[in-house]
Amino acid sequence: MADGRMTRALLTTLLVIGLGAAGLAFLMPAAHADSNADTPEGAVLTGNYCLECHLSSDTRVEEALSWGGGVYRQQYIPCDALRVVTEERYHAENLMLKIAQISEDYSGERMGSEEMVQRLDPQRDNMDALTQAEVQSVNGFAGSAKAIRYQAAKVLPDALDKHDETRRRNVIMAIVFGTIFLGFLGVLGYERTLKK
Amino acid sequence: MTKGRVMPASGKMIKVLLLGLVALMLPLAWGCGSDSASQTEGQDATKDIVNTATNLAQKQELSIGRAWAMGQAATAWAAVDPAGARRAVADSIEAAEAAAAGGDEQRSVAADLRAQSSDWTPTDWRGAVALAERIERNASRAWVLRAIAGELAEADPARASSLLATAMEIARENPLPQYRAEDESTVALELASLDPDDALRAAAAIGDQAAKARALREIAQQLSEADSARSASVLEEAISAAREISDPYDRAWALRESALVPGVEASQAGQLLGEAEDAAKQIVDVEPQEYALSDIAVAWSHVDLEQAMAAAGDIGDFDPQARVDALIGIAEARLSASDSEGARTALEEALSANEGVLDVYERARAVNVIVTDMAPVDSQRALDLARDIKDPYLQADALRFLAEAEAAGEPDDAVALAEEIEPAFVRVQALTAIGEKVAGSDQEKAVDIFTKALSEAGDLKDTYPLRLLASAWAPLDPAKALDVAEKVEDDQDRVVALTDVALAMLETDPAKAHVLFEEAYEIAQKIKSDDDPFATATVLLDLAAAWLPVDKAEAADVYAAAFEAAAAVPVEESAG
Repeated sequence: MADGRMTRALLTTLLVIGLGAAGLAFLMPAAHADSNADTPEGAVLTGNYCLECHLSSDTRVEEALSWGGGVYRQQYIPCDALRVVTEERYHAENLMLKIAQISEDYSGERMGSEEMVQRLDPQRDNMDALTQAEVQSVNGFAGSAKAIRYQAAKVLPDALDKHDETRRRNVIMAIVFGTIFLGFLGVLGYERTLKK
Repeated sequence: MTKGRVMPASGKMIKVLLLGLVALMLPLAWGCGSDSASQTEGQDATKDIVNTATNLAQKQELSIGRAWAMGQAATAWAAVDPAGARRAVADSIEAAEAAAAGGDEQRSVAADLRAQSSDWTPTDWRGAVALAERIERNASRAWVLRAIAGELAEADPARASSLLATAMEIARENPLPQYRAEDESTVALELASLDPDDALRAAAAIGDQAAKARALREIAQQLSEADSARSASVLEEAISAAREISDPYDRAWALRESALVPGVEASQAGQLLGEAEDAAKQIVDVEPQEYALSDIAVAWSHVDLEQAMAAAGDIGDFDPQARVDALIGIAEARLSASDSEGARTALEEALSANEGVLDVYERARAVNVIVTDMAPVDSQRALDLARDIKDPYLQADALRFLAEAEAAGEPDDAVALAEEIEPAFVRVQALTAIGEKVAGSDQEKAVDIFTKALSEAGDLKDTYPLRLLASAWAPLDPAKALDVAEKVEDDQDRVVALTDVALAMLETDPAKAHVLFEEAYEIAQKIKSDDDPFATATVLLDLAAAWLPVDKAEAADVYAAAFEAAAAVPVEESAG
């Protein structure tokens, strides 16, 4: 009995010590993990003005926002300023398009999507005005696009809820129609086979 | 009995064990505690380093922005009043030189940041590297001085040359090769308008082959109209430099651009594009290779449409967008060459290739571009495509373009099309643009369209379209335009609207026009923007440029105010 208690006490003690040592071992290397393995792919060399690389007489400067391929193509051009402007435009407009599409999917007879659209439209108006104007500086454009994206993102949780609700409704509808269809098949089968 | 004897023994042992445990846990607890304390100290040190570097980066950007804003205002002012602006020009040059100074210290802060961040968490480390690059990018940069020289070149070529010499010295002293090359290249280009021989010497001295090829190519382009023989020989040098570029992507880019310089024979262009294709095929990564081939296909369309379509067909399937880009580019090149059938074929293929693009936004944007390019080829097809766009704003953008394109020939159809636009914000802009186009031939109809636009604008939360409406309406009915301008809420928009109304009122009511100009001037001076510290200077610059044909002296005063506003922007900012 005494040996058993001692064994249990020893085991408990060893377990506590083991957990303590494991916790310490876990804490120690955390700060150094992966620190030298990654590459700085997040780093961007942002120029603030087209004029850094172009003369004021260069007509390409005035066409910064006209079509030059999508955001993926812009990753491989030598113009940092244009790349940043394109990325900011992509992020803001893409977010707003996704929210608008969720709203479109949700709309119909159901209530709720109008309010979401009403909250989003002012940001889409702002983005339209921003993209109609000439880009004066990358910081100016990026700051405005980020502010618009920030405001649009406030509608996002509501949009995601609506998206989930649409999916749930679709699943329920599929189950209901599936059940009706199977019931119909059952009745039809009964009528044509067992009933006879 | 056994129980009574054993209990003290086992209890003693447990006590010893517990004591041992406490003895072990104490140093552990101390270790953990001191670790978190040292972590906190480490975090504080990290924060300090990042704050110092962020402050420096902000200071650099503000110094450069301030020098350029001062330079723009001073040089524009000097064109109107050279004597009055002398001091401002000198101050802006001084500010540009100050912005380029201290590069070694700034780069040492960046180097320190890189060194310190080597053992930070990956996220912090990436942020630190990006910040270090931001500092390095803005250290010892010659572009502001070069740009000021460019603005002064016409009025004061001697001073411009001297500034460019200083800019070249700054550029050559920059130890970072990519920025040195960039500045050397643009200084040489700016020099070309003053002294082509000096410019060619400067370009020839550039060590980086890609920058050298670019400088020589663009100098050849500048010379192509005035001296085609010399342009051809400079282009040959540019092509030689392009062939020396070691990176295949950059080599493909430089060879492709050389093929597009005006005056290049079709056979030579074809040969260069063939070389560019060979270089592109040496690019290891698939995506940049496809985009390089896509750009080359577009370049082919200026030389040979069949070859261009074949080149577009050769682009791989890794990213369908590369082929869509190529086909749209080819269509645009064919439109410029008045080849409607070639453009239509390319656009229909682009539409079909676009179905394979996975990114919903990029796919939708490409459709919008296809619609605008299709309009001059087949307006009904363009309209059908626009009406098929589901998103109201993307559809509005396409319909706006088509309505504006229709305005001159069929204004009623254009108005009907504009009325299909769902968001009122875009609908009002479209109606305004149609009215503006119609105004030249039928003022009465234009006024009807403007009235319709105004009636549609009632529920707008953002009054930006009213600024456009006021400006467009002003030449026909300044009083009505003034009513509209007064409804504009944003100060920057209001300045533009009031200025346009004032300009339109000059003939009929010059006194009122001056009152409106003064009002616009007053609003402009008070403009503040969280996003752009130079907003006041920019708005004043635009106001001065608009008023220049009316009254040089008043415009000079506004330029002076713009200069003062730029100079007053503080460059010492706290990162917080």
